[in-house]
Amino acid sequence: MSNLKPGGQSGRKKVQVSMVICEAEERRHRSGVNALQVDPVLDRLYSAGRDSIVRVYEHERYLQSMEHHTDWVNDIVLCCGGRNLISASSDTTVKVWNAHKGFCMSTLRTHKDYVKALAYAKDREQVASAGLDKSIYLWDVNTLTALTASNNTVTTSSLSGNKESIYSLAMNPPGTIIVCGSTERALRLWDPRTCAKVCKLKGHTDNVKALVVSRDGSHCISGSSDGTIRVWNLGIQRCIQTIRVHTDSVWALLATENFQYVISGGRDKKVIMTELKNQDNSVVVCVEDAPVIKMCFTADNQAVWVSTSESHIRCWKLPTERHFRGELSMPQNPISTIQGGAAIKQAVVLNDKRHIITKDSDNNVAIFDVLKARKIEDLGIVNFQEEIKNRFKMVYVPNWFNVDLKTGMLTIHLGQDEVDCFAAWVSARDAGLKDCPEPDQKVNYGKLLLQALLEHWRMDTDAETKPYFSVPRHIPLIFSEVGGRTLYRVTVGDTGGDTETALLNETVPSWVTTNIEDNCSGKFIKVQFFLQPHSSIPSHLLKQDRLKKPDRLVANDFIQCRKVAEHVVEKLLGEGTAGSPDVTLSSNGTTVDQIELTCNDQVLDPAMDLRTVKHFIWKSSADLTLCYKLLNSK
Amino acid sequence: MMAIKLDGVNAYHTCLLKKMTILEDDETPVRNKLSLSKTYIESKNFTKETGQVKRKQFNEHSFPNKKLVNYTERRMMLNGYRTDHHRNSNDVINECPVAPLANMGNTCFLNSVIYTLRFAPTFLHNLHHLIDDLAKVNSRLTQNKIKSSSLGRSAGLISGPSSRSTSSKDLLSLGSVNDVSKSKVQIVTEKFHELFMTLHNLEENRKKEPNDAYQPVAFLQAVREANYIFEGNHQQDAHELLVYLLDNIRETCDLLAQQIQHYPEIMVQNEMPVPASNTKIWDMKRRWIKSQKKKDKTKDAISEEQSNGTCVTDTEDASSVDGSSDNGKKKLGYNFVAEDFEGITLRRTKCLECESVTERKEPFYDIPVPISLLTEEDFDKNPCEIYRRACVTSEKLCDSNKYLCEKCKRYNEASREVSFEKLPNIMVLQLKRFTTTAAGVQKVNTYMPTPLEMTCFCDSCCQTTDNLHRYQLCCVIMHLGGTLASGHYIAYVRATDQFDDYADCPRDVPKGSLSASSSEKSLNILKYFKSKGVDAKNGVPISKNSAINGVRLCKSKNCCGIKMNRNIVENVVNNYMRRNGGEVWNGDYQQDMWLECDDENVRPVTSQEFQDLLGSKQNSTSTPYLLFYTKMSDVVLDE
Repeated sequence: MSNLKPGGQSGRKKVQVSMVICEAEERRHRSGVNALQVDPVLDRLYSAGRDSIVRVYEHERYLQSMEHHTDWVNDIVLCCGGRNLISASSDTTVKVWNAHKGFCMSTLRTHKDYVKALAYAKDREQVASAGLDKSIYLWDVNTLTALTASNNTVTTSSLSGNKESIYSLAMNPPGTIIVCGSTERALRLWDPRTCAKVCKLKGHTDNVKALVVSRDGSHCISGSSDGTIRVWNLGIQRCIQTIRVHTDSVWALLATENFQYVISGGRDKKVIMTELKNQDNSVVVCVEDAPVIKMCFTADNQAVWVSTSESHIRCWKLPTERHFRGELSMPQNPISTIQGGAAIKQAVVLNDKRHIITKDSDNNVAIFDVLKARKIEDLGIVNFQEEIKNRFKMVYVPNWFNVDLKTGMLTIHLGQDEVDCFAAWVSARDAGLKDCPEPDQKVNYGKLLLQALLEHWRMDTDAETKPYFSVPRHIPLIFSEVGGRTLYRVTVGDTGGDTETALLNETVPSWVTTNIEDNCSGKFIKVQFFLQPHSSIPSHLLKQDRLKKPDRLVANDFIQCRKVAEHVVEKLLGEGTAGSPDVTLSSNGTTVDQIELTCNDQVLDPAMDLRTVKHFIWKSSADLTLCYKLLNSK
Repeated sequence: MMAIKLDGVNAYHTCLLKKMTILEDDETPVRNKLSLSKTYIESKNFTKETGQVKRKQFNEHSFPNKKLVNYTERRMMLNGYRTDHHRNSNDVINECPVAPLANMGNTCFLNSVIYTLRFAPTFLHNLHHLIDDLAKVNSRLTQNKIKSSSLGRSAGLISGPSSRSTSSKDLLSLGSVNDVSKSKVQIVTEKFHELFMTLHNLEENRKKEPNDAYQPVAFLQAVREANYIFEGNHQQDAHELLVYLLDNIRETCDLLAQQIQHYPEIMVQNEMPVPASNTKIWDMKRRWIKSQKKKDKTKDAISEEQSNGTCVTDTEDASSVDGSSDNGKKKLGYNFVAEDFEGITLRRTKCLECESVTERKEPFYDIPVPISLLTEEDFDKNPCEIYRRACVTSEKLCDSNKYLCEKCKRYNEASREVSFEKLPNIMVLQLKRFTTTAAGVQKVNTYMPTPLEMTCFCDSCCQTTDNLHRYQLCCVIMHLGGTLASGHYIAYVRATDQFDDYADCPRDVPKGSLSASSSEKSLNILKYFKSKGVDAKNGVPISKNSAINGVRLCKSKNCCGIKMNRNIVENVVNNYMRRNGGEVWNGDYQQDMWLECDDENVRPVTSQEFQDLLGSKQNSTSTPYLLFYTKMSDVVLDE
């Protein structure tokens, strides 16, 4: 069967440019933490954030950030004795990091959808990755860490047979068995050495989100959104135990080395430790203030780090025999806490289409300036809706960017699809350009921002195209397929580097390069409108018969009403009907100030532009109709 | 097929891709997202004068493949007539058990819907009272206007613009402007009622002066005037018309309710209407400013008019037989369309990341049933199961169709389930026989079983093993022919004159009557009918009097009710029985009878014949298209 698709669906998708408005150093997680790893040798904790950043803490103090992902980091594993870190992200990539120095060594783009889970076989230095594209890939860590710019091919084996989106993955340290949990509600097992299917285990009634395999590969524990924990004997391929200690989905699991206890966390915000031999014997380790996403043993195995869908990471003491026997009660407070920051939860673009008002998870309200890519005002805890109302201005500027809050920070997307980033033209005065020679000159917001973002990329730009604005050098600049995968991420300050310049030359889409070089003046947005004389205007003053339908006029959408009034004076009034001797009343008799324009019976401010009239007064998508009349000059 | 309502607009578009007839109100004047296949929308006009968006027009290009009808088909279905019948039309009319409707050229879509709604249980009766209420309110408003001109505003007729979002502001402003002219919406509803009155009179006088088949010209005219879609003399989609009519009547009810709300002074004490339970959803969607007011006022609402001189005890006992939502039935402005035809879908979406669930409820008039190829296995299955599976669905939103989770602020995978919180008393199943392909709209002739009884698949029924509700087939509109544009429609209706629909009507209480004892008595009779279950539903009235054994029939039966010529029906049954060697029908009528309503030919068919018609046939283009099921109450009163 031929598989011809109609139309020119050429392979390359449209590319959009995005920037993240963030601080130079984001020391705190902005949103939930999806994964944790401990390096016992250096006493380090690695945490993978939904804000796309992997943070490193040494002796429980912030050490550094590992920034290169552009979306949630879903899982991390520390390998090679703590030298390397591998991370999986919803930007569809898997990245290999130098864990000690904190830089990204290489990026694997094999997955086609969010990469949700990683598994690590320590003895064989093998890592598996799996995600929503339903596939599992096996990677040899030593090959991955040896990748360089020139030696950049890697072979991978994939495990076949899985049919649904994978949310969890586990491998035993010797790498003899790999298990995946998916929306299929069953576990699927393979032998990673041969990539041969082992079996499929049915029993859960919902997605399986957490898995642990025993060292010898004989047992497996699974946690599911159906609220149960199941213990499986892999030898007989049966579920041997169902543990119901949680009141909601189980999202995180840990097992003690000898499989004596299971520690589970979930949507009910609890972490519970249960004795496997006697499942009635369970102790609540802690109750977090948000659903528990991941847990990790501390170096001494006496406590667990717990991460939730909020940004704090807390360390809780594990119960001992005496706690299980009820002789001691569990401490109410964590041993230590790594403070998280607040995520932006709401963002409203103000009418000027330049400022964004935001509210974060701590209810703090702030104002951001998109053009400058920075926060300009902290308003503290105030009424958000009230503040939006107070800042309402009757100005209409077309949308020119999209806002995204998935990382808990403001991400601004510039593209040419539904929202054209070159749609907004404003006068230099309105844009607040101080050193602009002509305040009435029109500038384009999208172009200004793109110029600023790429300021350092092409240093050869002459003074004339020098951007009026500069954005901070630390701002990440992201090129990605629209609604899809990330192509390239670089900070604004780094764009001048040699490698970066070369990569940018390949990546920057042509719609960006052509537009920031030209004046893109042909792209003004037009408004069509009619001008109608008011009945009070004497017919002899009209050039055109009032009964005749007026001509449709076209103007740039930012034209002010004053200009329209000028047009009325010059073109529509004055000479009177043919043959009229009353020449004295012609154009020189009427001034622009005598013209009053109305729309829907509302008098228009001469400084108001046509798009604002259309949006706030005309309120219809049909062609605008303006009415003019003469005011008495007395 | 789908009809979408825009704010302040009656815009009905056919959208073959959409799932359900959802009636939506939204603030946005034009919803581009819902704009449909281009052929259907030729123009959208904004008229500033009225501040309304004109109705979207369907123009002649709507059915692009009209010309593609093949020759044989054309011979068969020319102009929507079936040319192959052998009966002389004059005889036919005299033989008709009910007054027949003439085809006025491509109007079988109209006739089939009229026949269907006429025989849809409770419809005629409720429509009558709506018209009654309209008249009542109108006359009072006029009186009131004379009495108290000091109000400073003229109390208009029910004359809002033909928009559903008639806010109080609109009413105020338009009350004075449109004082005299009624809204088109209201006219259509009134003409509809007049049509039923005419049919009733024709049936009443059939012995004296045999008539030709009636041409519902006035009604069609009103429909066309109110909605451009139906202009032009070509075949239309019966479903489209059905949804339009129901919505039109619902809107009339709403206008009436608003009028009452707006001029509470015209209401006699204790006469305030009660909003029917599920109109609240519409209210919420519409963000009616009034809905709050409405709730407050209805607290002390008691039934019945006081002008009749007697205060009547709340006849809760009688109405509670049918369930809880009966309170509003006796009130002015009772929205029966909402009560009888509207169901509520429940859409649950669960983000697979944070696992939070969002629920969205949407009212609907009909359930689209995708036509699926049935496997051998399916044929053995209960056909109800096929429908349940087609209606109650679940899907996974993934890949490029991820779900934007409000909590996670991002696109995640999600699971989505569509179920039914409430199924209406009269459930309309629309078999999705028309699909849009590259070659235009094409008909799918695949066989789907048409069960005479259907198990309910609403949420509460799905959750328990014993079914709380059952549905019984009451009407079927068949589509004959290969395409939407060229085919022919025939309606099949269960032969009944809806005796018990009119029994003990709370809206029709004669002066000074209905003491406690008599109401009790009538309740017993009602119990009798109910206990007979299915049979009582289409039971033959024991007598034609308006009161049998104390059961009073609502007067409206003599205004616009069906008056079936029973002899014709009985003859047919007897003939059939004789032919098949059965006993002669003893008048006890254990067998359901159906009427085949094919424009001017109305012919009784036995249940057996009917089922044969519905059965699976090879390559048949005569296919059931719209199925009407009526909810059966299984509450049998044994005492």
